Amino acid sequence: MTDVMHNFELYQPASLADAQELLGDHDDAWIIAGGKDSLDWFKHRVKQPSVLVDIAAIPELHGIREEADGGLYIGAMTTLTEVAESDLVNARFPALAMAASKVASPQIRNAGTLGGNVAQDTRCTYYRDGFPCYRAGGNTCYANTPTAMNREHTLFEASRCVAVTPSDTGVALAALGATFHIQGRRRDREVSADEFFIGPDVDIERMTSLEHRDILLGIRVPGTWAGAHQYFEKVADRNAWDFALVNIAMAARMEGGAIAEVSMVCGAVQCTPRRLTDVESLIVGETPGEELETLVKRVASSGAKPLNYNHFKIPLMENLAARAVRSLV
Amino acid sequence: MAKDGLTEFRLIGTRPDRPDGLDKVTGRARYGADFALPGMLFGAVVRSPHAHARIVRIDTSRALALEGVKAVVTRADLPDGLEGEDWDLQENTLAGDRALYDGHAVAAVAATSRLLAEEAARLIEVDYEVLPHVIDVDDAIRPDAPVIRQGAADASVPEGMPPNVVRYMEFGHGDIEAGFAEADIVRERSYRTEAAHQGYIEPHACVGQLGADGAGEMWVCTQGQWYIRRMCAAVLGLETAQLRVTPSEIGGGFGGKTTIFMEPLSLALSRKAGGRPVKIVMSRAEVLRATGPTASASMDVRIGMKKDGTITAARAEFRMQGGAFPGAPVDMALYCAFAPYKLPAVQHIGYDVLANRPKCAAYRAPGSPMGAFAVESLLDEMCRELGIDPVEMRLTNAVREGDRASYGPTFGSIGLVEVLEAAKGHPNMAAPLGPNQGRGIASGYWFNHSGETSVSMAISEDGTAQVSVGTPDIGGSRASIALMVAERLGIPYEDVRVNVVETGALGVNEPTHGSRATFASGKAAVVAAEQAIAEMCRRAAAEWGIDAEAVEWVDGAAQPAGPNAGRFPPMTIAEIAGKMGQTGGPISGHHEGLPEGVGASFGAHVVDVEVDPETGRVTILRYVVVQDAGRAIHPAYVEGQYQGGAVQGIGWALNEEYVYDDRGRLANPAFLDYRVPVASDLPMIDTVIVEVPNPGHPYGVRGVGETGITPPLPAIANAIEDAVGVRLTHLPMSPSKVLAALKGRG
Repeated sequence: MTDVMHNFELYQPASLADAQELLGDHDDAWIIAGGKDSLDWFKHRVKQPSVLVDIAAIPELHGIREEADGGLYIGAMTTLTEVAESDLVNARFPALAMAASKVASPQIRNAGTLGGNVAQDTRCTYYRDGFPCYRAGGNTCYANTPTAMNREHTLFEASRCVAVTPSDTGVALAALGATFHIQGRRRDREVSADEFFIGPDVDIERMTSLEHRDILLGIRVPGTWAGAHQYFEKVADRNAWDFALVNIAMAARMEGGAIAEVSMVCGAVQCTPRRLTDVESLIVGETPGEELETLVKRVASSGAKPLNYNHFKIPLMENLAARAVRSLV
Repeated sequence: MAKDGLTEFRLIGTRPDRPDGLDKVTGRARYGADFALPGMLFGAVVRSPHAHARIVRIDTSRALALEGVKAVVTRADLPDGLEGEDWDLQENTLAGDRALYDGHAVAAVAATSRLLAEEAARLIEVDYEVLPHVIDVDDAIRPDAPVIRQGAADASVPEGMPPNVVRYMEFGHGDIEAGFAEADIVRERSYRTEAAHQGYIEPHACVGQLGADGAGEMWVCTQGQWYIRRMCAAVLGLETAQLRVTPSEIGGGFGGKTTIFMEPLSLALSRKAGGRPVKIVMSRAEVLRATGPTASASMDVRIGMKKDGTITAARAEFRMQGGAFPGAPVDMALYCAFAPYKLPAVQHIGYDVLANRPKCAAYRAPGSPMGAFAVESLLDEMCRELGIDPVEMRLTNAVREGDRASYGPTFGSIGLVEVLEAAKGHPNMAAPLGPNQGRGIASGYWFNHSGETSVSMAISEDGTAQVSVGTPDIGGSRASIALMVAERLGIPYEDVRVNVVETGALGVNEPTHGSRATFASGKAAVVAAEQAIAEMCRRAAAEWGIDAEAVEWVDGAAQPAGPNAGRFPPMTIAEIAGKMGQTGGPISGHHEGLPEGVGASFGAHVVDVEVDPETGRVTILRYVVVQDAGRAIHPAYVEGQYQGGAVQGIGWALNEEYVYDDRGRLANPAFLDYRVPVASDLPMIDTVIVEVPNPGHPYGVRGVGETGITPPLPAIANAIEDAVGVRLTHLPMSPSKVLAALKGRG
């Protein structure tokens, strides 16, 4: 634990081609966007890459563009403040704008990027403290023992590791059906949130499917939910500068007072944003109201396996799901 | 609201800008980390990653082999043979044969850059044999707990007590059993508070220089330069007067900067590096892991009450851990716990318990907030049960002048009743409350303190005045002292400059602690000003050829009085000062001693909260601090102290806590996870300054820095019960705890 970073080489390429070349030349090159997560790792000396590739100067990674289907393409280096304050985002995808506005603090949102927010690493204190846990390449989990502190860990899909996704925007993007545009070594690809965010059962050492030499170029939010009713809420210990205890995002369309279509995703309860499919199938075709909320609470957390100190996340998650449904009234 | 409301002052009670304000907003103020000297080295500290471990071997060879590394120190470089508190300080500076907590310093290194020092620290190899550890106070007091230190108990501990109990106390008065028998209801509850850090923004920082001849200097952010001097000298075996310590501007202290941490290491490294100055600046993680938080507490309280709210008897048993060394403020917690109440019978029992945590340091009214959380919570619960208004109950039992305090002494002039009446009449008491909203009230107490004080003041050639004080300014004391001196001298506020000076400039001063600076340094400064006034009257009298007794000081000038009145025009301070070289030399005043007449300060807070029953989040809607200042010399800085205390109490109540993992490592050594409140968590904190002047101070000052942190803990717990009907007895009252309590209620 220290405030002084190690020595490293810093490259600031002005084009994607140069960035790719640098990544090709250096096996342990670390891509840095806004640096809000990266610099903490370096200051704590838990990660010490010898080469940093700062992608801030690459023009095509910036900005918000309208798409033909009514959706938006948001460059990975677009700051969270830009996302939160964008008229386009607010008009079409208020859940995303709200999620971006709830990240950390104004200063961090001014520097932090959308791409960095979805690609950031987990907050498990054992992992971040440099313990040789599964996620760090070791062979144990320090957070899932009978006496470990795990108030902020998983309810679902733990597989050796019990760390959760820390992203607010990731939850909104998953609910909105966004796809993640990635430039790889040989070709570009575009993947869904389901493929982008990965659990420990897929790869215990990564939170996303980004591999070495992959650059997240941008995020495409399809027109599917543009202008539809949307909801986002984050519960944290503080009003600012805090990660979610649980967060939730929802997009829905109503027809004749009943819920016609819905997408609901919860964060900070498992390693990836959790789609609440049980809730979705329960409420489609139903009319929002107290009765439906009661049913929603019954299924929202079904299958949850709480750890010693995070039982509170179960009622929290249930209540947030009910609140999202209440917002449709 | 002053009792002697007829008194009129020219400057006291006005709100001029603080003299350090411009420095601070323009960046001109020099804080601890701002000092630099030619040839300066940078120090880094190797800290134990274990809560409790035997240090088997320390190999510094690889670090010393690194080019640019100039010195390494371990415990072997410090003198042997220290005892008592000096040994504790030395052991906390550098571990001996065992590391006693996560973050305990084990070695230190100095190198030509900070980066290099950090690299070298990494190259110091320490072999540990991990030992069983204990963190929680209730675990630490068990007879079979891992023993932190054999033989650490003092004479107060009776035979047969568990091994980690190092101090025991039992005191009280009256027939406690008869008191309980007389009560209509008797209730007993247990409460817990977690360790909280002072959370000052400025990390500890110093530059130390020490030669082989034992002469040294230090520039450091501290609340007490003489304490730094004495403690460093003790730990390093130096002659105290050979050290000169200069305090920097300070970015918050709250009690946490009244002791030493890495300061002796910078001196020891400097000595080993041939006298080159060594700068050490702590990281935030080091501050949280290894500097003093306050103690954590486990408390049982039993109170007997009649149906009309009269308290018949009270009993408190507090267990506190203050880390691996004696010093948890359990005594102060007990003294303050029942202080607002006139009790016919009371019993206090306290245990100071060792645990594998950092050595606690003073934190704003040390101990008082914990005790208040327990007592004020239980009283509120009993008022609720009996259907009594909580303010009326407090008035029914309130201590007044001449009453015997719960902890023994007899109160002098105090303002608790005035405080409670002001709270009762505050508009917030009548504000409407909606669903899930509730109101809580609680009282708080702090003794205030005087202590060793030495102040000099001198008149400059142009008639302006300089005051040299030894109490670093952590809350506006320079402004307050300047106001008092200017008031007495009869000159403008701007004509007085108050300097916080180094140890070579004055006799010994205690730190700025115990809310003492404006009381003690202020009182001494007024005496010094009066000496200067007397001298100036003598100079004028000599010039006029009349008796000095026939001269009086009015509006910044000497003027003939009595039979001589009007015979000569007044002689201004500037005129007298302008020729002091010809009339007898410098004009000054000096006072030192232990200023008597400390005035205790009571407060009452009223808080309205809204609890979100679906998320467990508590939002503070309205907050008012009512507190007796004695007299507010500079009301804006009194309000600032009230607000600052309340905010720290709110943080302690709702979110702040030291979280240790199962290996005894601090899990949240950063402001991201150690959650002090942020601006958006707080409403405007209203303040009401009650003024019941302290007769022991020339302007009625009591001291205002500390009482304000005490009531928020119980006031918020009381408001939460009022809002949603659940009683929280374990801090912090974070969303997870509130939600669990609501869920448990079904």
